[in-house]
Amino acid sequence: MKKFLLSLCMVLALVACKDEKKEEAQADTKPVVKIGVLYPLSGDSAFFGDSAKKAANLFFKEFDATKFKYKYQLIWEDSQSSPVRAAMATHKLIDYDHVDVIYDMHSGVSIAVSPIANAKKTLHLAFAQDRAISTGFYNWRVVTSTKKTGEKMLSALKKRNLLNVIGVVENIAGTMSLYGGFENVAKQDKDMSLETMSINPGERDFNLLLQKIQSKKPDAIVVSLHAPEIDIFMRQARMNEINIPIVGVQSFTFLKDKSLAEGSWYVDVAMADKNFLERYKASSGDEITNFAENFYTLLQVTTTIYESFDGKEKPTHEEFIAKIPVLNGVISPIGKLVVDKEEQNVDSEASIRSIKKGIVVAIEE
Amino acid sequence: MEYLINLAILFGIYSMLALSLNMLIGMGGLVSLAQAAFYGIGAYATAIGMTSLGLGFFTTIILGIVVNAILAFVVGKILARFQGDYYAIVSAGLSIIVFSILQNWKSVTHGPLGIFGIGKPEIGSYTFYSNTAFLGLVMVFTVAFYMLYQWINKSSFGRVLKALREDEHLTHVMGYKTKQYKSVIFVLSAALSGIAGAFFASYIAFIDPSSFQLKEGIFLFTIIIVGGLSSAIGSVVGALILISLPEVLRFVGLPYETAAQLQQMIYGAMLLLMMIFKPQGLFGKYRM
Repeated sequence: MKKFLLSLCMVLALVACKDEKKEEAQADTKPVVKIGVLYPLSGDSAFFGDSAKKAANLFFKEFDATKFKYKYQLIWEDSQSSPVRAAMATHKLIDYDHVDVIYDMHSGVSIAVSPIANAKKTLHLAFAQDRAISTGFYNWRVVTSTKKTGEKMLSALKKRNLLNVIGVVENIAGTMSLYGGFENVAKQDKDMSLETMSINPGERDFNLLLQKIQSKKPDAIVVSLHAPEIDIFMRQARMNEINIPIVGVQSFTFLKDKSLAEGSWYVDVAMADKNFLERYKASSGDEITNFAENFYTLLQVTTTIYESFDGKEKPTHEEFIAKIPVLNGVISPIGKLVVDKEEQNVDSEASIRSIKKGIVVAIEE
Repeated sequence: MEYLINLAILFGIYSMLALSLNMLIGMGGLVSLAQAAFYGIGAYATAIGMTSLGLGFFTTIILGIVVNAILAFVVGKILARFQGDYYAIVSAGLSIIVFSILQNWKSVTHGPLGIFGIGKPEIGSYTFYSNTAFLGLVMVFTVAFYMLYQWINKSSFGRVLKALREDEHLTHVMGYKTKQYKSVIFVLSAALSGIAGAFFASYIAFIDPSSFQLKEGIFLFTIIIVGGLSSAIGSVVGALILISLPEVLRFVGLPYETAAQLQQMIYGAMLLLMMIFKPQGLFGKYRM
């Protein structure tokens, strides 16, 4: 027991006494930009981390790193999609690894990271939609705003004359934020009638809910659900022979069995262009990107700004933030980027997608 | 160094939780999985008190203690009727109910979106803003918890609790009102968990219901099993191991493609080995 505790203390002491200068000396002559990536690498959402790694491989394969003025080093940490684990990992990335930028995803994680990044004056770029993430000078989001996804959903419903809808939203930060964007614009629209029902994560029986919805005879059901609830909901909807159109706010992106939503459409954050999808498939062998295009965009955003400096010294975080407007109009795999300084968000256009033969395809509207 | 300070803060908070739970399970033999619920109520009392009601940190601690004590008193009356496995199952039910309330009472708790912007403790004009100062405060409370544990352990109340743990029926026959003893230790343990929750909310500055699920209660249970039941030092060492081990594993040079998965496998394997070779825990004085 004593030996165990002694070894534990020794490891912790070694961590504390790490020679930072030695590490700097090992790097090549280019200034090194350290990027801490706080993504889910294990558990239910690990596929996002996996896709992000593939996107990083593609990015550094496509961009000739030797031509960059700075050397970019990614340090991966598992957020486990848990605010506590993410907070500890953030401290590690900032205090031990001395990262220049932190990337993360999922609103719950990003909100936990924000106050730490801001207090330690470290740049934080989140692929998550909650407005609260952008509290403080150093916290920015790189994501299609919920307002844009909401407006897109509203216009798509109106175009199809689906004006009396019932929303089913899961009580998770991400799904609620996205659905909230739609709910806000729908409530302000005179022609639209929206009733919202919520479900909790872990619920498995939606039969009663579906029957209740059917009895109200809406024009459509708008779902904002995460995995695995979305698969279960769609399967039970099929079993209950629900013939009302079921459309989604992002939800179908999380479907494991895409055939459950064959022919249905949904609104999501900006989608990767065809060219990116082909390159990604060729590089990783995967048809489905799981937001790889967004991770690629995070890297593009970071390198675009850093490379606009002279490469002699690393710019400060404040200098980096001051240059964020240069991203206006930059073409990324998710389309043209728009900097919203007030919202501290690098915005992009929402997409309407459909599932055809199990593959997600964009719908031009 | 700053990273270690943060680790130490988390260790302090979990030590408080483990000590409060060990009073209940180790001393009283009452296997409760409801600790995460009281921990969550304490955290939410601080979060809501500080962000919505404008209360100071220490006032919100008292608020959390009061809410927890009242709830634990009511629930404790029901729980006191149960023993062994049934006690554990009913307490798990409480944990699920509280989580569900935190998740769905959106007008107060903000549901899954959580509450952010929770402030730091203040005494007069001094704010415990730096992590070092915050750690100092956490450690003061951790030591106080430790001393309280030891004091109860040596008191006549503690001796009755241990008798109750060994044989409730016999203790009752000897004239002790066992249900009352069970209720009192349950209320005390719940109130103390609330204090740990308050520190957690202030430290993380953001809370959502996901931190207070039943699995958190099982994690706390694991801490005291690893450290050893009915042992104050065991609670602290258990917290040290279970909090720092996953962090230490971050520094093991594993290939980044599989590091996260391997870290969790190593973590699980180490706990398994510890249980094989030390089934009563590292400092356990009592085995379930």
